[in-house]
Amino acid sequence: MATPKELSDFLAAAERRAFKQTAYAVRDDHAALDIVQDAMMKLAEKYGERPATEFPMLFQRILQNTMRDFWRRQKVRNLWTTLLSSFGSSDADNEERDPLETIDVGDDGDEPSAQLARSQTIQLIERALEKLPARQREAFVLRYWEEMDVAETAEIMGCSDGSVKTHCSRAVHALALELKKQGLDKLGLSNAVFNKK
Amino acid sequence: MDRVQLVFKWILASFFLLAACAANADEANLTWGQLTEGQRQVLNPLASEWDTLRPWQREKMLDIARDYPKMNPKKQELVKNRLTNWSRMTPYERENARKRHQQFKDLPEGKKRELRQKWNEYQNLPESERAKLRSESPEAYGDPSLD
Amino acid sequence: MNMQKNNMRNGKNINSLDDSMISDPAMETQIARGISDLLKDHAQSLAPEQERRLAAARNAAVDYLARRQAQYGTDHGADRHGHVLRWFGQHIGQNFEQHRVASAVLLLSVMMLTFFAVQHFGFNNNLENSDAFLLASDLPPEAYADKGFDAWIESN
Repeated sequence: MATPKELSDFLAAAERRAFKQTAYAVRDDHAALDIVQDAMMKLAEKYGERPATEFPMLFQRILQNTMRDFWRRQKVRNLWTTLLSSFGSSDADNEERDPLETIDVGDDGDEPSAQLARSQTIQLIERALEKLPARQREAFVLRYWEEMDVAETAEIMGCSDGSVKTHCSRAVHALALELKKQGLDKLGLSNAVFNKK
Repeated sequence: MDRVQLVFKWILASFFLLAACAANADEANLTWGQLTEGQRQVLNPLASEWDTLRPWQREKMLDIARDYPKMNPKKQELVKNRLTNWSRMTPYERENARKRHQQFKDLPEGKKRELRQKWNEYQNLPESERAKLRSESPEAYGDPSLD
Repeated sequence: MNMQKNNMRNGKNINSLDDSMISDPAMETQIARGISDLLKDHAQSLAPEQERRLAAARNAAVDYLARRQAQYGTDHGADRHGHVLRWFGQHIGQNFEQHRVASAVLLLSVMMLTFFAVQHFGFNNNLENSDAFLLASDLPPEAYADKGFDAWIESN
């Protein structure tokens, strides 16, 4: 079973990306902080007796469920809430209608410096990630950011291995197209993304 | 000087204790090919997936292999037959099973017989019935926070 | 001009990224890795206030666990590997850092206790706790894990 130090080490390593991942999903930094805070305490309360090696998967599942609770409590109805209401619904594994309506981000027009260009890249990526349907984003984050394998991802998402692969493919497809649409290639920033090893 | 000797003995003892623990932990990192013949015989059903198991899972399995030789043939048979199903369960299910088994162990023989009987009855129920019972159970297969 | 050269470098013109290219699994992985690398990188540094709140939340969770383990010990049987020593070591470390002699004496007495405990209880306890006994018991493991069976027993 885990020691407090193991819990501390795990959370210290995971907290930043957990926060960012949650922020992309709920589109609200304050709420994201609350959710991550909740999830950390839940991990300690309910699963402090588990070996620390189980923490990555447990923590991800707790995050997903806490986010789900958050959405249920949300009173404000807006376009994004509607789009994300496919979160956890029973047809999430079937053909997903793609709710992506391209939103005009606007064109800077200036020739950016390397620094600025990089931060623009990340902003575009973040926005593209936020626009993904929830299941696609989950699959992408778990597979490529959390580096879980297909089986682990399927267990966390509560779907089949095949669905995970489908969601991942669609996510990458959508992200790539969205980035291209936003003129990422014109800025010559495709190197940053596409030429990485 | 008596005290010094005693202290020295304590330190030695703890050293061996810790060494034994460390050895245990190391054992969990062995690949299938590195296990002893005896271990591999007992854990045969897990041969193909051994290298994919996590260290703590392997430790638990190695504990089983350690105790197996001390059992009578009838019990050994049961262990071998049930090992595959056991390995397929999730860590959460196995932990639950351990808790329940702890309770079961301490029951008087009469109660145990009763439960064996009930298990037979339960197995004769149609699967739909059993599924219904599982889902109605407060913590069916998962912790609310997991599901 | 440099950009164009870069974009042609891999023999593919990335500017004309099309569906067929993305469908290629190798390309898909490469794109996914590239994007996730950038995301990982970007997540390394947050606003100071965010970092502070996350650290506070983490410490609260860790303190909770430390307090609970100090209170209830480690009697779940899942970890037999010197957990007593580890717990005492932490506990002592937190409270007695300045009192090296006292902590050394305490640590040694704990070691002695552990040694004698192991001698007394032997490995009999471990024998009972091994899953082998669960597997060899009257009921199959599925019986213990089946919540439906629990409910069945309760209702009858």
